[in-house]
Amino acid sequence: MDRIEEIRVFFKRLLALRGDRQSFSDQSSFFLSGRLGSVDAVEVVVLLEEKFGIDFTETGFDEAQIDSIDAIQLLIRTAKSPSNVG
Amino acid sequence: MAHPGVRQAAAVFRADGSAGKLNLVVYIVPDENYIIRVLADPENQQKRIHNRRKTFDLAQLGKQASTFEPGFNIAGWNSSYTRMPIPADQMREWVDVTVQEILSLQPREILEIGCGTGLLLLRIARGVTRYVGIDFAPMVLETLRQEMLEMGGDWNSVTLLERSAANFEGFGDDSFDTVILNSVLQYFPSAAWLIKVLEEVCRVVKPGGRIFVGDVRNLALLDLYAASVELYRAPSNMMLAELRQRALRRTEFEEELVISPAFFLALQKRIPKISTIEVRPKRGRFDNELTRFRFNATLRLGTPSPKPAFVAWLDWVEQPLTLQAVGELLRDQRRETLAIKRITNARVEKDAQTLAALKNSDGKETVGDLRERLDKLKPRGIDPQKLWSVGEELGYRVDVSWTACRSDGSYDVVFQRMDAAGKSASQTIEWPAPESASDNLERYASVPGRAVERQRLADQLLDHCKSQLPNGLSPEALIVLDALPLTVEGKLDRQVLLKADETCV
Repeated sequence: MDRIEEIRVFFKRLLALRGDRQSFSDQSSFFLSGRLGSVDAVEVVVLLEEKFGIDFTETGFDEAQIDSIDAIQLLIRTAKSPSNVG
Repeated sequence: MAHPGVRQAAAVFRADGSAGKLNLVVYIVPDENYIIRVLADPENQQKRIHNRRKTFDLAQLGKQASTFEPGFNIAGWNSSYTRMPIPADQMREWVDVTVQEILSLQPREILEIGCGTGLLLLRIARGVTRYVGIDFAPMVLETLRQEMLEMGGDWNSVTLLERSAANFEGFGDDSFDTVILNSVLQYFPSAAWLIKVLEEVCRVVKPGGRIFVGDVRNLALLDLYAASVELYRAPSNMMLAELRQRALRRTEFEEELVISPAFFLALQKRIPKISTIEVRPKRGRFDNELTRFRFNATLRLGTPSPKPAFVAWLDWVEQPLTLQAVGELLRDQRRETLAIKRITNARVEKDAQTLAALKNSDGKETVGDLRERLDKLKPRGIDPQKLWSVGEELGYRVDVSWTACRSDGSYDVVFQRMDAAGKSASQTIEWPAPESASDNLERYASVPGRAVERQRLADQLLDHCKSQLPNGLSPEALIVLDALPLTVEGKLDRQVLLKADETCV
């Protein structure tokens, strides 16, 4: 399982715990749409910190950054770009 | 299926419409005591507290947080309707009216539990001899320290402590005359936790002191809130049946601790040192979720309350009065006291209509139809803020109460004429009580995390089945129910069961 697929599975499980069985795409909004809440956002943040090494004290934090799979992919790319290293 | 978390279970084969094959579906009724035990597990509670703390720290990492003027950091105050920040002018009013209410208690030595970025502390601390602010989020406290530095001046009365709301270490008996818990109860992990905190608060407050519990989300109005938010977010072509499901799900999966005003009435029975309790809707001219669905409570300790004066109540439902008529009664008749109960609350009148429409939907109406109907609705109710304004302008003390805990948000009001010195004859009122009262405090609080733990149990059971059973014998789905449906003969109603797929795993 690649790492983005891991995130998709993670979201699927978070949604399931909220009784939400609807499908989602990489563009689907999770937080701004209200499908997930602020405590779920923390779960996602911890996953990104622990598995992807993202340091939110460096990148700043906004729910929009983790609102969809696409947004998270962009965040991962931006956080690891050379301009954000060192 | 013998599992301590499962009270009842049933398995049926369900036709898979697409392939014509039969799938095994298992329905479970979780054991509530098991779920409560899981939620009360210290590790589970710590994790939820840790996650909550992190949400506050994360709010301080947003771009928005750095843009506020010193003393007015409202990062993280987002609307449930729009998920966007609540407008600054609305938050400014929220702070203003809260500060006024607290100052009216004439505090000298304050303990604020959950002081956050200091929205209250920075406005109040300089006028008191001692202000201890505690908060569990380190980044939030650091922001507050920076703000104090930026604002400059003398903050010698202030002590900031990073600690949990339940940590009273070092606070002796009768240490403070005022304790503030403003907009923090909703982040507590359980009612049991809240009760422990309030018992400790009562210990550290001096006789004659006050406990200000502000911005409490009202459990009596949770269904109205859920219906209101989901209606706002729904597309016009959505059927009301779907909207109803969404509203029910929002209520069921509510992640915050939501409290009924009746909680405080029951608390008074448990802690006799609490002499009086006032529960009122929030003041404020803006229409938002804070003014609609939250209340403030003031608990007074140790001062024997005088016997309530006899009040002749007018019943607004039987004799609706306009705002103008109330003004005339006060101005022209110069009544000493005017008491009106069951006033329809204009702030939530449409929300009450929405909830009624969801309950009585014929299945054909859409969200667009409902919105059209609500737009045509002629409002009958009165915004409590208007009664405060009218009464106070005419020289009356105005007490508004939500003690009766009605689920339509209606409220009671008493006007008492003040003398030239600004005092009213009697300030003790026997408010209409809730229709049913219990001493069980936990009955008056939501159970944050309950629905998620029920789903987690189902997830775990399904995973277990899949890992232990051969392919084809494992259930395709595991569905959580409150109860198994029964026929009139008391047998399992398979037809009803097969339709129960809203929370399918």
